[in-house]
Amino acid sequence: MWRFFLRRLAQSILVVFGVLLLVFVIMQLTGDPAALMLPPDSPATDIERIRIMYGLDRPLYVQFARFLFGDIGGGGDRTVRTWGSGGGWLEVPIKPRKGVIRGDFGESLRYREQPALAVVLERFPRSLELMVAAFLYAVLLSLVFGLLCALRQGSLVDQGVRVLAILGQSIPSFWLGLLLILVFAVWFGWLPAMGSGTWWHLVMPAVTLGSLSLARNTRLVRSGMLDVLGEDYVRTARAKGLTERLVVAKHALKNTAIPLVTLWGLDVGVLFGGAVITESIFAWPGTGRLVIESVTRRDFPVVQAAVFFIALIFVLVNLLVDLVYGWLDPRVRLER
Amino acid sequence: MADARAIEWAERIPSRAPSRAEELWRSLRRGKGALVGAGLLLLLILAAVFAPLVAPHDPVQAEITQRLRPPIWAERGTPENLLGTDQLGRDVFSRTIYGSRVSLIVGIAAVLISGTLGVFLGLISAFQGGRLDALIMRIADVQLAFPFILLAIAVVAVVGGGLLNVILILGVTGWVSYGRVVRSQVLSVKEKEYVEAARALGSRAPILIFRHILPNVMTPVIVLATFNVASYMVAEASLTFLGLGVQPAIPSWGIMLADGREYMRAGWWMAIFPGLALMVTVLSINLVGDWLREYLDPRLRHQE
Amino acid sequence: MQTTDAERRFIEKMPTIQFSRRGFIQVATGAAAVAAAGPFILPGKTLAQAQKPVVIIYGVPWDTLDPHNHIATWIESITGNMFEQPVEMSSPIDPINGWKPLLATSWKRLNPTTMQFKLREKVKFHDGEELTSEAVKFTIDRIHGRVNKEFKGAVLSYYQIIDRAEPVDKYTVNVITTRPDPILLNRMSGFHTRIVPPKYYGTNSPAQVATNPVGSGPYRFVSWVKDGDLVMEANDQYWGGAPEIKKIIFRTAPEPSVRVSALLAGDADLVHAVPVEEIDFINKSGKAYVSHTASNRVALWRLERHKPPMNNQKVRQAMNYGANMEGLLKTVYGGMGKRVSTMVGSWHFGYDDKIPFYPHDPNKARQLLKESGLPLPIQVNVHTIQGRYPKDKDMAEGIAAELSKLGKEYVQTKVTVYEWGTHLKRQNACENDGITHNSWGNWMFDADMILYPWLHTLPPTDPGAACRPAKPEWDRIIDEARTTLDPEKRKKLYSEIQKQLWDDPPFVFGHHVADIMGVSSRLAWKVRQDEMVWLKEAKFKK
Repeated sequence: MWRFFLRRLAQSILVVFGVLLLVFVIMQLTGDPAALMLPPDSPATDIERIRIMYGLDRPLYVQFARFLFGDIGGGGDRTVRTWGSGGGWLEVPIKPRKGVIRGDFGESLRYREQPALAVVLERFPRSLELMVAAFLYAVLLSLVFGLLCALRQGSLVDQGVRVLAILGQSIPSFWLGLLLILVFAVWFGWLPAMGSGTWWHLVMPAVTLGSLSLARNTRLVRSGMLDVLGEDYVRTARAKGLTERLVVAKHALKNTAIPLVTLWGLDVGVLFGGAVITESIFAWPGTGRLVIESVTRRDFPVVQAAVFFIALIFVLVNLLVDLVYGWLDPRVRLER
Repeated sequence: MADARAIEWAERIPSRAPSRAEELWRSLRRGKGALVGAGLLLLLILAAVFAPLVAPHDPVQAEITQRLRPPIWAERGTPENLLGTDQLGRDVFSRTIYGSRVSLIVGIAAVLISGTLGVFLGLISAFQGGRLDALIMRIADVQLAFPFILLAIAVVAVVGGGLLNVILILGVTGWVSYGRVVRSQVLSVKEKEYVEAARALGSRAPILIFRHILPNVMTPVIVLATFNVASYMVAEASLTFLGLGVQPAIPSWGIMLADGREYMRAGWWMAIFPGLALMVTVLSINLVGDWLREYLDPRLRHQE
Repeated sequence: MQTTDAERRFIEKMPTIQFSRRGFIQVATGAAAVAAAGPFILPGKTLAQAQKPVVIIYGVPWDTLDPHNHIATWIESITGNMFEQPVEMSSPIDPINGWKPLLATSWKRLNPTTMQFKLREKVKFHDGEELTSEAVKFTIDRIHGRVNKEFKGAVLSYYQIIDRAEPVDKYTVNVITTRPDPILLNRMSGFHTRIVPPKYYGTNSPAQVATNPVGSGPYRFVSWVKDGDLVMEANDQYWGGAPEIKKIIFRTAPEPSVRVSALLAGDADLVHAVPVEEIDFINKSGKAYVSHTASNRVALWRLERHKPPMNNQKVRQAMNYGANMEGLLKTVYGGMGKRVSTMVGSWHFGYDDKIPFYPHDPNKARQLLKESGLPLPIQVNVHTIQGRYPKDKDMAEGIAAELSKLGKEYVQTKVTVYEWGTHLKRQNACENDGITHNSWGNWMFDADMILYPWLHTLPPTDPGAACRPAKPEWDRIIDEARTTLDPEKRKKLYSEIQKQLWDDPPFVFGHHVADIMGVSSRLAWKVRQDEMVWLKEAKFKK
């Protein structure tokens, strides 16, 4: 068990590194952020000054090394001479970097002078709130509906829920969100149209974010239950004379739990992705909106910090799921 | 009491594996939903293919004096535009029909790319094992951990939007589920006796793959593919909402939904009709996919 | 596991109780949640009207509250509630006589490069420090980078000309420019002349002041959650009297329909960028109304003359004859946009109302295309962004559609939508051919402020220099006009250049962008042409 855990941990670290590399490369390809930080008609010398300050003028591999490990050899107070826009030479100080190793993702290019990771972490509790709410909504309701349908297979309830589930998968989330706002905030006035702050602000965003997961999970719980209901041991249990419903509750649920839990782990990734759209619609001040704005404005350090953080959470959650899975099912431990 | 129930249940289990034809027929009869779904899909494909014949107007030509006309049954509606016009005066009905093309292309092409990539990588991974397997699985993990939307935004920022790039983004990022499914299927089937037997008899690896392993592996892949077509169609709409999707010159349901969101009161028909079309399409695909799963799965169990 | 008969019968009879435990937990949690949320359910509906904070929703976010460190009109607007400058422009805008005293009570020109301002006495900043001529000197020094070498004003290029401020006595200060500046008063009406307290801004880092601003305005800063609520409260010691509205909250919501929904649901009092099609609905709702105007911002579609086909003057004229700007404004833009004949805004200094609008003349356009000598059809690519300005994408598509209507044998069009960063990048690198969407907020209400940035030749190493529609003749006129203090002479010069621009159009000439705001019924407020939302101008309706 211990070896399994270590193996998984090593793989997780590799994955996080891979993500960092990928995001670094992609952001480099999206173009020069320095030009975006200044007014459109800024002289080239001003743009060059910004690039020097943020270390954007160095070769890529140097930038990546600084990104990961910071300035090795105490490069703190170095300055570079460059021609200033007012005429005359300027000494431009290079902003020092401690590197990801020490938790430093650099400073946000948009929120000047604020550490990128701090900008991300500031927003994260709000996103977490939203994702937990959406997750609970999706998971709990999917269990209820899925079980209901599996038990009453073929009935009107079953058909109804199945159709609703398909609808949930076929409405793009931004439309669902806008419709909900129209109905519940404007027509009925029951819920606030946007923003965060109270429980009531959480309802519509959570429903919007979680509906895709809910739809998918309901169908999977249902089909998983139906599969299991046909399995040998269930038949045997039935034959032994237990009431149908007890049989369901005890055996079937326990066995669909394992693949379902794996899926929940993956859902974390889906929720992070969906949060971007939901947060935009509902003006929710979370990391999703931050990511969109930061990519638009080419705020590299914040994008890198945000992606790292999201990937970290995802990897940790799945590590946990794998461990639980491994503990429950010994066969997994022996797998490569 | 319970004994009687158990016996009754046991009697329902067929004593011999039915022939393929019998199974298919029985399955189709039970799956009326699937027939409806298949019918609707056929209609959709026909509409997409014959769009220039079916659509009354050019979907791209704007006529600004005719903007925001409601459908024919409403006040200010005209028989010229059955389902009304959009904010630039383009015919909604024609755009919805032409839009089916984009949705179908996006769905099918993206699935083909991700499916092929995934099956290929999954097969290699499972067969070669060792380092290559570990590498491929780690790449898959990295891809899963990287938020898809972010990847899409970043890719679009680099190479721009457009139909081709949307398909590529969806295709290249979607291979993971196929890869994993194929890999686990192959791993479990690899050890089965008939494969060992075939190997012992001297069959070489490619033959092994194609005749024995692939048919078993393809079942979940096919099922996955059918559902993915639907979800890629919906994803196209979301990408367009974020400004990452198809360019304005090509009508797509995604663009219509994204444009329509500003006109929910003044032009609700702009988004409702493509939205309905999308829903019906997804519904049909799911009905067919459900039936496909039920049809293919029990066969798998009986086949040894 | 054995069950008794009784249990079995119980369970069989009431299937829903199977889930009783889970169901109970669900209901209990729900009840607890409702109970806990109780206090929040009544968000001020039971509180008196005047005490409920006024909520303003923008469609774009802001990343700093430092008045000298941004380039956005909406940040200028928001911070304008906390900061003030020497002079203020009245609404409606009058660039000649519209200057009102704000922090300065009077001003007079001492010589061509010096203007003396007398400051209002006994004005205090929010931290208690008194506003004197030292503060003006400090502000000018700060933007030049003399206070902190690392920190320079974000739009310093427009303020380079103000060299320094020299205090004469406690409330008198001389502002000295590097050359005669006809638009000095315009510069003193915002952005880098927002006066900041020397002590606070001298001792705290730029990062600190960006998130904790201190000014002299009618509202003081309370708190700011990025992408969330920016809260300000009334400055009861304000020299102009305590504001009527006691608490204001700025929020940001990117979706237009969500902003409108918030307004109609009573969650907001002022919302920005309302879509044209919603105006009727809002006005009829009884809960809110729409106040709109043409704004300072001018939308222009640049003809990329460094690449074919726009390198041909006749083609450029043809584009203006064929684009049907009039028709587009009436339909796509809902009749809201006010057309401009060239680039200068209709109330900006230098506008010549004798310059005609390009008429919509498809025949003339076709004829010009034939005369141009280029092989037909020409390919016209339209490059645009979406969602940033009202109807930006729609207008671009509209222009393309109107040009296509000239005929397939004449013009083929293609519209490409870019995201904002890419759009800027492409322009800086001169990658576009055809027509590129642009807009410019002329916050100095003067022709110079749009002509110079868009037309004047730049050093070749500057981004976008290669594709600027610059001509030596235009450079000469612009340079002369910006160094002459005589307004009549300037007007003549600007008329001259506008005539030339009409003949050799660098743009498909466009329109003022409409500023359409939704206002809740409890507030009386009128939108300004300069996109400024200053809550001191709002009152509760009786």
